[in-house]
Amino acid sequence: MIEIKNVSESYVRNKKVIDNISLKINDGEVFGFIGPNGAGKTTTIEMMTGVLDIDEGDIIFDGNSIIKDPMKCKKSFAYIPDTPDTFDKITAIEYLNFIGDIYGVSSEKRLSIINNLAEEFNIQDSLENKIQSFSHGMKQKLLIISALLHNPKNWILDEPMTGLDPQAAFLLKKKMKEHAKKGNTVFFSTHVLEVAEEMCDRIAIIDGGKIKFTGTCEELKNKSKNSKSLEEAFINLFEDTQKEKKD
Amino acid sequence: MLQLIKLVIKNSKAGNGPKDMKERILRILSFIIVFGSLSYVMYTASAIVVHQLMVIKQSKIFINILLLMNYFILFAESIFETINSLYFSKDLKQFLTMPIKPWKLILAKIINIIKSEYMMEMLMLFIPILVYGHFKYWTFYIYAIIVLLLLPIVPIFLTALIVSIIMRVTHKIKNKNKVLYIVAILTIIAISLIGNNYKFDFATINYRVVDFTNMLLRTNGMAEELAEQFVILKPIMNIFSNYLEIEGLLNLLLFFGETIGISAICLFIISKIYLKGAIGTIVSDGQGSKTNKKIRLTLKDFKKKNKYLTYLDKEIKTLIRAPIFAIQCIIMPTLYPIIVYIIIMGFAYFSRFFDYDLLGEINNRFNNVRGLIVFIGIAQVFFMMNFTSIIAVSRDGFNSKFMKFVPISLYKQFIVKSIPGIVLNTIPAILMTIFFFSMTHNHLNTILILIILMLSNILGEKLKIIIDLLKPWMDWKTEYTMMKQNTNVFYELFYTMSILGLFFLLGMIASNIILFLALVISVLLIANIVINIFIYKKSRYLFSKIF
Repeated sequence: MIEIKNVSESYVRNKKVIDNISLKINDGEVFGFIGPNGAGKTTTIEMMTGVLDIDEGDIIFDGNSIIKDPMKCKKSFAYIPDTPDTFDKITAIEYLNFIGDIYGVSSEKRLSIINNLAEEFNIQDSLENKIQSFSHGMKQKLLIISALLHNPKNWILDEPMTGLDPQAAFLLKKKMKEHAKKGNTVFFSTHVLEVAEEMCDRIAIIDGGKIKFTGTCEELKNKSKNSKSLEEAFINLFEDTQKEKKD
Repeated sequence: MLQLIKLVIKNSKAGNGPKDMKERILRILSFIIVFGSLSYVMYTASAIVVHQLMVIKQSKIFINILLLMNYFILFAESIFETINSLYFSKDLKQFLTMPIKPWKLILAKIINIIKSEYMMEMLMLFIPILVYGHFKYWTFYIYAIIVLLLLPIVPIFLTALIVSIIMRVTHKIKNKNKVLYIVAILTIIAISLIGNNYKFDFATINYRVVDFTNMLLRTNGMAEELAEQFVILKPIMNIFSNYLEIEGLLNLLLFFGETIGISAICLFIISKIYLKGAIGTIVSDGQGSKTNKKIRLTLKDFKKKNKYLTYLDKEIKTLIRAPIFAIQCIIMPTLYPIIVYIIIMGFAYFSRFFDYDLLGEINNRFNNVRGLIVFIGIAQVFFMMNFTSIIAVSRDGFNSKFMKFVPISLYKQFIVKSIPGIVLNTIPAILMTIFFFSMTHNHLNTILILIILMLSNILGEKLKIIIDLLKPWMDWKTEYTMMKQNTNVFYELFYTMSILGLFFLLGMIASNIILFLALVISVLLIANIVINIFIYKKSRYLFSKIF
């Protein structure tokens, strides 16, 4: 379970990019984090993963605070960043071994997981190549495999479908659902509303650093003038916000 | 064309420059101190040499040798600059999709390289020429300025031509790192061959002043001989020899004409072969990809290692597998002390011409505190030339974000990142200790010296990582630009000067050698403990600049 408790963040003094947000992602849940560009999705995720310091509030992973006990928290989640930047000079197999060593994964487990996942994601023949030779999508696949290698309870994925081919995107979605079904937590950000609708048990919509909505996709549609699609509901919600701002 | 030049220059600018006024002032101040000190050293050395040569009425040797040396340095310097700028810069993909004629793009990029070489020229040539001109008529300076402006143009165009030919031939090699290594090795071989061809025959020289003069004259003869082969060098030498006569002006015009002519020919040839090579590097952006073969993974592929060792292994691989990092962080820092040792031995050999025992003098200096300060100071300069730690964070680029979310404490990551730099500095530390022992045969002092060198090595490397953490450069375009334009090096110079100042201060307090060495060890030990506590307690703050 992940709890975001009254979290705020400012890059410049007195200008909050994240303004007192609170979310609770339950065990067994696929949770979608939706918002326009610059809304604060990546900033929130980077605070959750310890990449950014938290100005106010706290984030709790299964009872452990990312501020007070960062090591315990970091062991309990897998994170896939929005851009697949990784260590270009090493080979894919070296990278996976590196991750395996850092998270203490046994040799036998590495062999079986990597063999399976590399084949499923269709990069098994490139594992001995340097990562600098990989395309965006291949790097993304490698990061997904590295995240699944230590298979922690909580998955945090920032725009995970970007750059993936349809087959890999389908596979990842399947893995996310399976992981949640086992009682684990999957938190991911996306721009693609169809993906959110298809995947998420609940969603949160963020804009201007504030949470505008939390609930199921159906609840959003009902709330937003009984919209027929999630897209329509999303647009209506933002039109209402714009009107509120003008008023 | 002007817009294109502006764009190329702006695009190549360093990304970790100062942002606020306080930082800007600090940076300018450290630049003035560093540049001022180096200029003073150049000034003093030039004045001594010019004065000595004037005694034997051979002062023109100074300018000839200086130009020759600078010409070779320019060639060596511009090899990596041209290959990176013309073929491996990240803006290449954008430029190649635009309707820009190749010669325009090449010219814009070469102008950018020439601009950056002027800085190096300022340090290497401006001060010595200023000293040399002091004994000349004022018109000498007008000629000198024009020559200095034109001087880097031909070496850079010629280097670009050689690089273009190599790239055209090797464009099928799908590994840009291999190409960089090939070019570097070919260049070193070429320079070594030239050097070997013109080496001094030490064995035939006797220990008399007249032989020393003859040796210098031979060196000048070598410069003149080379000038016969390098058509561009001769008029430059003639300009400075005959600047008061019409011949000087004619040679200046000839030099100008040759510069324009050679550059135009080079530009024409490069523009004809450039695209194929450039597209080759982009097509082979899958650098180093092996042919996709079926891989059968076994347990042997997944040997479990300690997480700190695996982290260190990753650091070392990153350093070794990027040619620029390998050259600047591993090869050069290892070579510097060896080169300096050879130079000292060479000087020791030549000192006998003047009935002067340099090694004996060095030994005497080691018997007093001042000599030891200079000795420890030289080690600090060697440590400073090792760039491993000053780019410890920046070399990971955007991926330095990784440091923040893996379950290894920031303090421990800091320690692991400092190890490669410390190990590399251990090489000059041990070499210097051996040299010290071979001079003094004093066991106690040798051990104390080794302890001092190692403590200052560890302290310095940690401080370098702190500098990089406080001002990391993550959005660099190429490894080369990150190394070459990393302004954090100024802070490193500032630190080296500060620690040298501290040693001098301690030298003033303690005049007894053992007391001085013990005092230095104590101060370095305390500094190391303090810095460790600081890193441990403030690691969150130190790492906060990474995203």
